[in-house]
Amino acid sequence: MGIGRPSLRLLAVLLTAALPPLAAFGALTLAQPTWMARVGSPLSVLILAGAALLWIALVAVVAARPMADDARSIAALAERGMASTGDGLSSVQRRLATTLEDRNRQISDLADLIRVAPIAKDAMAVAHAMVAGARQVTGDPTWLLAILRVPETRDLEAGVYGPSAESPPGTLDEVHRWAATAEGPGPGPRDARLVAGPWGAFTVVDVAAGDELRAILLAPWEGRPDPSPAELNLFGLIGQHAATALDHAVLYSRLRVQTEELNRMAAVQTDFLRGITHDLQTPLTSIRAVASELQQSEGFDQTARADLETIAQQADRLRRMVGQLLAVSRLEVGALTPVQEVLRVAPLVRRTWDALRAGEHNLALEEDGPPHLVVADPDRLEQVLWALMDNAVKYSPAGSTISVHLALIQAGGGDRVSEIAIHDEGVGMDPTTRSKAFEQFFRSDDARRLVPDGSGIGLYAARGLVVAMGGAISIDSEPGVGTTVRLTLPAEATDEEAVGSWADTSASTT
Amino acid sequence: MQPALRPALLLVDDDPTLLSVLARRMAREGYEVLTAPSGAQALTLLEQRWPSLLIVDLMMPGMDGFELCARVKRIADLPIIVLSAVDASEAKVRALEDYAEDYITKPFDPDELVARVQRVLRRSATGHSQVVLDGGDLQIDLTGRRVTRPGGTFPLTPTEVRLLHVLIAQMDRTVPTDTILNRVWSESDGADPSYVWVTIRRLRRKVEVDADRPRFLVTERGVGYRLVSSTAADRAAAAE
Repeated sequence: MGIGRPSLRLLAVLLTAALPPLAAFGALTLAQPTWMARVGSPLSVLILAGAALLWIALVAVVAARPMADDARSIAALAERGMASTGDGLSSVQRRLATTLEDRNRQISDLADLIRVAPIAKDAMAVAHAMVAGARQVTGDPTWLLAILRVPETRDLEAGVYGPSAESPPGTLDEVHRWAATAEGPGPGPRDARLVAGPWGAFTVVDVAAGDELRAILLAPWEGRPDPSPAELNLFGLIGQHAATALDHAVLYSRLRVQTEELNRMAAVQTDFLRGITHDLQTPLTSIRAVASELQQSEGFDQTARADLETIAQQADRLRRMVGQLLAVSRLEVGALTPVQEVLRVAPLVRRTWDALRAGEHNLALEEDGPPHLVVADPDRLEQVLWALMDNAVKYSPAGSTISVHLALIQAGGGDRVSEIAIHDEGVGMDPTTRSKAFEQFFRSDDARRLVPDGSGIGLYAARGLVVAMGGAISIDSEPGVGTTVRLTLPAEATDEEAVGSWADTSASTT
Repeated sequence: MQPALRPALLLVDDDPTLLSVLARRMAREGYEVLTAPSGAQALTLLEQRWPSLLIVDLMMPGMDGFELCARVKRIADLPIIVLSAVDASEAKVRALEDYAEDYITKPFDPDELVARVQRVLRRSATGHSQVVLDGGDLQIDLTGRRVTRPGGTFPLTPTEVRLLHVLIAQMDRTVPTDTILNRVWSESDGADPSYVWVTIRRLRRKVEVDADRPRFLVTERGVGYRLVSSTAADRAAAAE
């Protein structure tokens, strides 16, 4: 024992130092038991003690050097001994003895992978990302992902996936066989574990969404030290993240299939609408042109004139409906860009009312507040007014009055806007109907009963057009009392104060 | 007011009914009318006769209206009105703005076509499609319907284009408000002088750097409006 030698030397030094005083003390005691009485003089005691101290000091000086050396060598040995206890820990354990910081970094790397995974184009990419993640985080290149069940995703099949699409894993059959048995043990995720089978040992991690085992992450573990609890814990964490990513991939895939289907249906609908609208436009143009020509010519009797008038009227009605359909299909694809002209609303209301030829109803048009022009697309605004007044006429009894109230009002933002309120004394709408009134093709039971052949796009188109022109539209209604549709549009004041120095004086006085 | 010589129109449409109805209508309005049922026949006809205005249907089998317009414009600057079954906001029609002076969406009222023909002919008589003012800083592109000045490019509405046509034709002279009203708005619009004030005000926001101190669109109090070709600053610079 290396440690014995300097220790004995220390003992010898101590004994050498202590021996002479002890021997003197012993001799005196044995020779004269009553020495204390005779050697009572303090001088004798003082001389004795001084001699003893002198002796000890002499021995200490002689022994000091070797003792210091010994102390140093003991300390060095202790140090060596502590280092050599580490030699006993396994290399696997050391690999695992990652600091908390390392561990956090790895988990955040994994989290990054998972963040990317759900927005990856397909579930395949997610699977590959998961395997790559497991490999990166554990530093072990043998990880594979065996997909067991994939609900409704067309781009991820059951099978074994490595980190890239190009290099399929070599042990496919074995893992398949393994996967078949691994499915057995029943529902619920289990902890990451080492499993030995007839084809060798694997470290296995369940990738489960709730009770459903979707996939397993596994790495061949034959001939390697058993994974430590900390290692298994980390694998389990990877499994949980993998499950989340696969879940996202499944949802994404499902959503994509649905979106594609909806887009396809919408495209078919829009194409149909456009096609049919195109086909209607050309003959309509001819009908209107011919009718207008005939109306100009002489030599028709009263009946023929009335018939011609009907043709022109109905052609005009058809033109407006086609215009509405066209506006709707244009709104759907966001291709409607109204021009911004300035115009007075009252004449447009009167003209549109005349075009409606609602002889059995009355129009009450009133204007309030300072004079102003509305900023709108004249053709589009006419479409809106036509749709709204047509509705008002359709759903109110003959003989009733449709009132249109125009005003320049203060909007929420402080701007002055033009408000057009169209009120009827018709059947009105209950709150449910009112809330759905602007939906495309929506028709209430009342609507179906009263006007069986309506299309249900009038209000939908009106709202789209008003919004496209930078305005807003709302409905107030009470069943049995009537309906008021209010729309607001940007306005330009024409009163003296607002126009100010721009107005030329001659014009402003005319 | 018709010019002494009857202006000739060339109508191109593959629908024979529409072609004959429109031809009759335009003839009654005092125009000389030529017709062609296809783009190819229109080009053949154009080798012998050069009309004042071309009216072209956009959708035709074989050579479509778009191609016909492009070919015609390569030969000469003939004003064109496009008849279109597609909406004016379609991309293709927007591209057509390079060729067509105006477009009208089917189904249209023949009266509306007559009004547009009159406007385009009146406008093409002034012969301006682009005006550059302020030493190049202000560009008014009437065909492309936009104004470019330091501060940006601003789209012009059809009404603003018509108003600018009237002012440009009388550059540096004051045009009475009533004249502007009659030239820019049709009778059916029911416009009054406030239309002119407000349109000028909106136009100034596009043309002028400071709309409150207009340099180009100047009000002549009690008379009307004037488009100024050279500004006071330019004149001062020229005087030096």
